[in-house]
Amino acid sequence: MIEVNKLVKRFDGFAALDGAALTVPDGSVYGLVGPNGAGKSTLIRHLTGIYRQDEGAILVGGEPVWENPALKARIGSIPDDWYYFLQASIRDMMRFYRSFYPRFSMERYEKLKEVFAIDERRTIRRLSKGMQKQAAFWLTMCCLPDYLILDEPVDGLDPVMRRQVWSLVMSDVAERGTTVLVSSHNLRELEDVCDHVGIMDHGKVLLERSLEQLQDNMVKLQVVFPDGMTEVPPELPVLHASKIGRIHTLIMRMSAEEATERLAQYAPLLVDAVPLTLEEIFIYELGGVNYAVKDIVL
Amino acid sequence: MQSKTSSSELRPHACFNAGLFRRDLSRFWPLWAVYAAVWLLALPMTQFAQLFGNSAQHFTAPQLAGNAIQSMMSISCDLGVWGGAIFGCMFAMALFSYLCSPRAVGMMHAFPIRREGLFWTNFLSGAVVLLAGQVLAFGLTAVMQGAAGILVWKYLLESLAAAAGTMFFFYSFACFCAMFTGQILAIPVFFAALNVLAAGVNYLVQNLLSQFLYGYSASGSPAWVIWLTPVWKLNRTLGVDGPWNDEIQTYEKLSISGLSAVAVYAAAGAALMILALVIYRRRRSEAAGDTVTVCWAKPLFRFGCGLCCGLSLGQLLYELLWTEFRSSGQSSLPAAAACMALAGLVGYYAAEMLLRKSFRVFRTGWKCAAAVAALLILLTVGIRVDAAGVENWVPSADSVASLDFSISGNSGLSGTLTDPESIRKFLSVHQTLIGEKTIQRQRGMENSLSEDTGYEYGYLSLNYTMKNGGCVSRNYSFYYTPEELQNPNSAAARAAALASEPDVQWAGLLNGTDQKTVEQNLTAGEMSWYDGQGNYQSTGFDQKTACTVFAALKKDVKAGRMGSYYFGGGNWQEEVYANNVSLYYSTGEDGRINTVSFQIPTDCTDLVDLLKKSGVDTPAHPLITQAQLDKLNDTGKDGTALSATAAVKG
Repeated sequence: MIEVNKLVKRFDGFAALDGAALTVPDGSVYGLVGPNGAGKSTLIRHLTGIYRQDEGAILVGGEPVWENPALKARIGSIPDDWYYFLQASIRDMMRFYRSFYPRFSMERYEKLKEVFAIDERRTIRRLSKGMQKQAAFWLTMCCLPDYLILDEPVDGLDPVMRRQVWSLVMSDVAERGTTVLVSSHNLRELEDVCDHVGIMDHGKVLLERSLEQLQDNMVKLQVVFPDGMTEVPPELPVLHASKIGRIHTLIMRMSAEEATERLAQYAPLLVDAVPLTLEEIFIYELGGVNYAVKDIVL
Repeated sequence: MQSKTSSSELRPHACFNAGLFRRDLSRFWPLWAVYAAVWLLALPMTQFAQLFGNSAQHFTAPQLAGNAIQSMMSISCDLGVWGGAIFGCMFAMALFSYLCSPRAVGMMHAFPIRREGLFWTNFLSGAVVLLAGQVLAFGLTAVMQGAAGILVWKYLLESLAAAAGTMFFFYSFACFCAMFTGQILAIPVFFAALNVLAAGVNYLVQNLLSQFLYGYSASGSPAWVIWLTPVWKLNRTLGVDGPWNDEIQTYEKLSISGLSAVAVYAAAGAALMILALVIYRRRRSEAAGDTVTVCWAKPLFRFGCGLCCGLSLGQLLYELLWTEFRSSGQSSLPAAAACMALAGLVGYYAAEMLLRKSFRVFRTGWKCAAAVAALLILLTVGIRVDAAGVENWVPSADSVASLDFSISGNSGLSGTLTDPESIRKFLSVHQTLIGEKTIQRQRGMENSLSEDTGYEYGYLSLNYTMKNGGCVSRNYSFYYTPEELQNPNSAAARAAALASEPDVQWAGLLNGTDQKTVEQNLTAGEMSWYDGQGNYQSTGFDQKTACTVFAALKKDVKAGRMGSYYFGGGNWQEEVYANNVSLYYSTGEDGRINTVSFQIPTDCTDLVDLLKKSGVDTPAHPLITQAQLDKLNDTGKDGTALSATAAVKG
């Protein structure tokens, strides 16, 4: 389990993390989402032992990460800007990684050579951005990590390779019980792989739930009110409302059953509950903390 | 599902990583190659050329051995210092370059290894290459010397110890500097700045003191300042010593001097290495790219830059701007304080810009900037009002080991004294000059405003070497009226009396050699004279005459007549002969010839009579006074040739 509690990190007085807290259950895939500058990458750098927190605790498998080589040997990470030595080939980097990770599997390395189909002797800087990302995956997956921490992992990969990479990750989760924390802006993709989601903003984790809970907690309703009732009753707790013709689309933070019940008193002609996508949840949740798409006339 | 492994089962080596070590060795190989090439070129190749080249035929076997060993030791010292400083810095830059890139530092610090492990592995990589390069070079040198049959392990190991010790120090020092910054180019700047900081600040402060303090003169650098300037200290301490064997014409029993200093610096290098590790452990990864990475060092950097810039650029500004406007010859406190404060602000804000990586730094931090400016103004004012009492301080006679003096007026002399009684006389004049500080400042000002003040000019320079190894320097320019020479308590009269003192005269004439040695080793002498055609000729005399001249000189010195014309009114040219008398004597085993040279005041009756009696002063080449010589030169200018004899008669 990954546990982050009241994590604070300040850069020259600015709190990049301001009491962030999250829990990633063992064997789960946790999607960390949030707007730009929310503190996701900073949190991830703490989880990988790069940054030292000012306050709070970071425990992975019950142990603090900071200066804990034995624990870090079980953590694999791919940052959004993976570093490699300028003159190094994938094979060179493999040797380098192997010297640090006692569990580095050459067997897996050889197997993945076929998956990624990149010439391991080519200098990495000569490879395309997507191929460099593949190389990062290749090497990280060979470390056989118990905890995999990914920051924008599939950014730059083509659709086929994205699926390939996710399939590798998910098979590790299934077979080895790997715990995955992934930060991404591609919510559509996260929706497919994550079972837990945390939403960050301003250095805090605003909410974290299982994807199921998250979707159960918010509902999108398409409603047609009776004749003469053109507006949404103000007493309804609506997060967002829009109207096309007579059809009102309402977003409400409650279960579909509860929302239907609340609307029943107005005798609507039509009530239809539609599940929200993760992207919609993200947008409406953050809309509540003043992070919404603004209507700006240029 | 596979079972997971607990942390305790995975114990990567916490303090060393072989993969990183190998990577360091392979990654920076061009740098290692250049380093090794320099050593190979400097030692085994030079030795090979020296021992087996054509020039070897011109030397005997002992000479060849002496030259080769001397050359090896000398190169080891020089390359150890300069190569150590340059390559030590480059090695540190290369090995810790990852700390300057956020991406690189992210990767390295995410690996399962402690900070200590990264530090030791990287540090060790550099140290191993440093030593391996030297071992290789000295090993091949041993082969060369062995083949030539001149190999002496003592010399070789001594040279290796000197080179390795200095290199280790500079490498550790550079690594220490690298821990303070996240900018790769700042590493050599910090390294160079810290190497010369102590000497630089010492020079700047002394320069400022000499601007404002009466008589104060920069007295060199105290020992601790030199120790804190490693390149300077090692460069002047490390050397090759050994007696010259005249018989075989080469040096023998060679040894490297200053190995104890190398040992001290090597120990300091070890301490810096540990400090570097401590700083590395506390250093924040997110500081990659910052000019200064350690929080507590940031204010030091700001204030340090401000103060150093104030002292250096401030004084430069003051010299450039103020010298054109000052007419009184006096230093201007407001101008100096303003220049220092302005330059201090420039330095402070420049440092702030580097720290913040922004030019918008003027709103925030103005209080600290004002504090730097205030500090510099306070320093300038403090020096001007002599808050530390430097101007009035005179060392006690007991604390002075020796005195280098220079005393002059119309003419002068300089020398070194060690006799406490003689030193006490100078201390007394020193004290009198301090007593006249106010009036002398006033006269100096008057003199710079008008050329016709009627004051005569004198100068006294005092460099005391203290028994504790320190040095105190004072230079006094003083102005006096001819009447003041009659007042025995005036500084001018006391300086004049001092100039005629026999011990002072002998110190100036004999340059530290005692009278008996000179007297017993006199070989010959000569007297110069003016031929009336614009040329000086000389008349030589033999050893016997030289001895009699020296005896007469002793009488005149004893009578206090030799320095009589140094201070006085406008007609001093009539009180001294322009002819120069030189007495030659040989001392030492090498038979080197030394000279006692002097001009004769007209009241030195013993000398004048003797020169006449012994036929040195003749009508054909007479003694003529400075006034007569000037007259002769003036007449010559008119086109009328006049012989020296005629001038004497005239």
